[in-house]
Amino acid sequence: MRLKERHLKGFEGKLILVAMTLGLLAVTIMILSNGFMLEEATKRWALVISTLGAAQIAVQNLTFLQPHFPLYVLMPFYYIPGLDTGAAPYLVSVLGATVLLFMWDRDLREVEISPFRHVTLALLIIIHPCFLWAATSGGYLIMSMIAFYLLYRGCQHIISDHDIHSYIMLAVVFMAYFFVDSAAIFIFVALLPLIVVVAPIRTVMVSPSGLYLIVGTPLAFAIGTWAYMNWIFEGSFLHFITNADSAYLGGKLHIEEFPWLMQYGGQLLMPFLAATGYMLVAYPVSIYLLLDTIDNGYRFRASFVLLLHPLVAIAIATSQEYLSHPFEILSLISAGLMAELTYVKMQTRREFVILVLFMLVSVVGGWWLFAETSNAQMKEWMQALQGPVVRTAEEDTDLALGLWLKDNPQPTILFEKYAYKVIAARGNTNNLFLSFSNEFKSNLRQRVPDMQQIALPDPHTLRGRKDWVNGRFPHMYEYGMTGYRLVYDHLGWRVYRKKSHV
Amino acid sequence: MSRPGEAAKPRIGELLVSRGLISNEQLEEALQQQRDSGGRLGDIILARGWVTTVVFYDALTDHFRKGRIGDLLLERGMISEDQLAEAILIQKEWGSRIGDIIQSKGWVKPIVMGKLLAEHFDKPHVDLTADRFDEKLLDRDHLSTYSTYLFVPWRRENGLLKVAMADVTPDLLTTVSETVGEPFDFVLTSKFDIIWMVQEVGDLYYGFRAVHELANVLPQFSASRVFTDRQLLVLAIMIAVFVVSMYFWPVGTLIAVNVIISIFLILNFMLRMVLTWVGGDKRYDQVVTDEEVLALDDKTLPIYTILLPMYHESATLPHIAQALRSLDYPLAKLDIKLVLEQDDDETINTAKDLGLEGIFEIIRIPDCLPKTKPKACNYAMNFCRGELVTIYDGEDAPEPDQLKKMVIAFRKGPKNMAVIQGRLNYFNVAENWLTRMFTMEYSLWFDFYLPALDALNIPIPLGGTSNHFKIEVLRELRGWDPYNVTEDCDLGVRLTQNGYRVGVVNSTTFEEANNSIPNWLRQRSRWLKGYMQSFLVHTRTPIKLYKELGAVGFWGFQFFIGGTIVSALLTPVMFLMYFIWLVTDTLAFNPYFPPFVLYLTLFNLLIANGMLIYLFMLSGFKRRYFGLIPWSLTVPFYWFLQSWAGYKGLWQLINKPFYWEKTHHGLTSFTASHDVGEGEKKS
Repeated sequence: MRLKERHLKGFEGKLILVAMTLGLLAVTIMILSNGFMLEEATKRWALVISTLGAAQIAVQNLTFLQPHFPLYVLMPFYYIPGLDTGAAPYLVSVLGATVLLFMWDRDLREVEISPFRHVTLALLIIIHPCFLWAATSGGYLIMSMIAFYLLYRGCQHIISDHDIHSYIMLAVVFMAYFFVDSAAIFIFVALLPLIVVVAPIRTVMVSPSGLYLIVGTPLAFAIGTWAYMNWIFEGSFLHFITNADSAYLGGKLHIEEFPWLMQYGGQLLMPFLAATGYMLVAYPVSIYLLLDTIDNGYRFRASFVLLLHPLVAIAIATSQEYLSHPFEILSLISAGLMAELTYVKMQTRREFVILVLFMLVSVVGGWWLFAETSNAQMKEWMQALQGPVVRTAEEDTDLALGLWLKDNPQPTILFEKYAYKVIAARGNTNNLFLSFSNEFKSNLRQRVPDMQQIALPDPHTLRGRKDWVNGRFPHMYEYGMTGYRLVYDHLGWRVYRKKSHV
Repeated sequence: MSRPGEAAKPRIGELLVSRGLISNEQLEEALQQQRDSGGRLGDIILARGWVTTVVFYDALTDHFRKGRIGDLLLERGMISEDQLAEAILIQKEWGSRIGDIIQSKGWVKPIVMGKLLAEHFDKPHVDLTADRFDEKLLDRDHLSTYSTYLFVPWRRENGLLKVAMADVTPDLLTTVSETVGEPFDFVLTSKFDIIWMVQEVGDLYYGFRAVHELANVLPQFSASRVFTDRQLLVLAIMIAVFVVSMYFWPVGTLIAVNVIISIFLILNFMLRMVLTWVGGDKRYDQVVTDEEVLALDDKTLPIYTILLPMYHESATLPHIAQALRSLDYPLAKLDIKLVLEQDDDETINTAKDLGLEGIFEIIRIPDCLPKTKPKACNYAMNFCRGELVTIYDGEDAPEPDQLKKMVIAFRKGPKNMAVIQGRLNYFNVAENWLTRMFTMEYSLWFDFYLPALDALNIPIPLGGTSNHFKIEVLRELRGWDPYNVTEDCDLGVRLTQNGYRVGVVNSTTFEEANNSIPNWLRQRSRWLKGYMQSFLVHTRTPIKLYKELGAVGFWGFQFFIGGTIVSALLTPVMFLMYFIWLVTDTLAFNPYFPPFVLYLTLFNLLIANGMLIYLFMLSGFKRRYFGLIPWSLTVPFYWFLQSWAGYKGLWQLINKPFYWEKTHHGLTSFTASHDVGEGEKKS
């Protein structure tokens, strides 16, 4: 009978989660139809379709300037008809959120709460702006949250079980994390001092170095592997942290664009204090959990780590001028909170009500803080939740060129690194010769290129100056080239076509 | 003969009649015969077959017995009152007989005990070396029964068969009765007399059986033939296909070879990751808890045989004897066999000089080929009396509760559980780099891999020692393969193939890690050669193997045993290519590494190798040998040694397939101990 009840509960739980997933999907469709587009998502999608559309599929064409896992998960969608509009990253976000919710649902069974309470908690988790942003914005933050959730579960297991599985889990998650998010290294460094809280004191006293080696070696191998891949394909072990376009540098080279870095970049204590303030506003529930577990050594240690870890990570990442916005790491608390809830006692009505109240306050505080501190993309997202977004001229330009190229699919040379929106709008790279292709390279070696179409951005713009085709043929944009005629000229983009192909 | 003050005993005839075992007429007839031709009445009644020996002694035990053994020993001044009191206390705990307890304690020698037993039962005591048995009475088919149960038909007197026995119990009398199949009476002798004489007579029989029984009865499992015709044919076809492909499509063929190798190595790596994860699961880690051991009733414990095959290891003998005495198991229920080669006078003399307790027996193995440990164990199996049997090496230090844990594990396990492997580890962990590597490797193997293989029902390659068998299964499968130089690995697979389970239990035996590279190479090349033998034996009929093991078991076997061999052989080739490329920057390899293959190879080089190093770290961590963890970064050098040994093993498989490359023990300067904390105990 109990087993049957459990099955029923499990089934109900799954139904609820499916409903929530559909809800998230609906929200995503709504914000997309309202014109929201995450630049980073577009960039990733463009990179994927550029790579998979090339004559020879090569991993190095993805570049080693950002973690590859978020790109790999997009790859299967390239082959699904109808997803060439660039919706795949958003779908992946929603799916990621679903995976996280299902994992949480599985782990939450240990607590044995009623379906009503389950739904209440799930709703409170989902409507927190950090979760909703991660789940619907098309970024890879939701994957970081999954990694963080597993990481935190690993910490909890070390505290409660202290078995070899928990150490392996922690170490392997860190390794995987590195391939998911360039901020993983800061998350790792921030956890180092807290390991002494997580691991049994006996182990810490006997062999701290052994402990750190066990937790950190896979991550070290991951970094080594990455450096080696950079050396093999790019000629330098440090390419991924020396190249100006690298995601591993975060906001370091564009501090002026990020108010957070402008204010706290290079400091350690101040961003820590600021992040603490943010946390108190967006996640006061963390404080409640800490106080609630004060009489339980094991759970208190876990709550303590959840409270401090993201704050330390924010401080370190800011001190290295990496973190462009505190929410990039602060949002992970949502995942940590989910993990924490699998350990929290909420059997009595009082306990549950207090927890819900704190979570509710967290949601309200979170939305307020999100609105107050949001960057341009976050603002757009919030705007899209309420109605249509007004797009800038430049974005329209890229979109227009992409759509034009879609209608004029002749073989075209295009330097893709700053034209990812063009590629995303075109939907595929058939007949598009990008910088890593042999055709692109050989044409750029010739005095007069031999290609049906050549797309060029205005050399007076920033991306125009960085464009390799402009670099090779500096006058082409303005004056054209013998044998070519201008066929497209719209707000900073020109396309020249070979005269023989009218 | 009545003692003063005791009531006179009723006569045998009257007792038998009063119990209805014989009639008055039969008694009269027997008495008449006694009057006519002399002899003892009991012998006449037994010879007539009116009463079986078992029933006869069951009815008349008290008639024959002269007091209690303990009292007799005390009377003779052979033990003190304190010793007797201690023995009685122990008896309450162990449930063993006083005589066995006293012998196991070494207070009385077996020969003396034999004489006392004879007196106790009012029977003659014979010295078989002086009063040899009549060989015509021996049934060669029953030689193993004689040596196992310690009795032997001695002589025929007045038409009645006299059987020389080392002990008398109702069960034993039943066994004797079933074996000899005729009326008999018994005389008493020392168990060593029986062992030596039976060995003397049955040397050839035991020797032949030890070497050839498996090959004769179950030839499909014998490594006496390295390659079958079919295997050679398949090999020839593969070579032919490769040569033809190389001729017509050299690049494509080499790419294909690269792909196959890369995918194999990835799968091999993934299997090891899965095994580490599963093996690290608490459920498989603590099969038997300390509480269960504490709750065990010693009275219920079975006789346990311990085989100690040794060759030129006299130095380690005192140590292992002490280690076995220290086992938390009723000594009286131990049946310890020192399995020594006939030409190893040094160890035999040491064993004699040590004056070991009666539970130790020396089994001398006749000097014949192949001179291998499995042959010695097969030979000794004829003399095993235990329900369970295990093997230890001379330098082993098993955890004291190991035997008890095994008994519990057998009881908890399924009925078809035939063998349980104890974990092996080393006591001289920190002696040098090699011992550190070896320790981490063993920790990984026994603390992660084997429990996982057990959980996933993949054939377990048993380790060289501390594998605990149900003896009847061992006998049913004809013991170890004397032609296989890793006979335990082979046996583990054979058991699984025959529907038996092989388990692993959380009890460790600490051994001496090889601390010398040449010695290590000898040992490892033998192991890898044995793995090759085992792989060849069990893949003779792959489809049958698949049906017997199932998909998981079959592929697990292919990758676990096959993977160990292949990766050892491939490592130097792959690394050589890599270093050539690294140093020369050559483009010559480029055609053979198209992107897809390149990524697979890079994955193997970076992630797989990195994680395999990490597994070594985990092994040290789990064992709490924290000092080993940094050393695991040097494990690639150990892989090269492994490869060296692999090629040596392959060479030997072709040239000297049955040659047993002996590992020298006793090279360490560390003290053997089961209480190991990173092996810091230096002698």
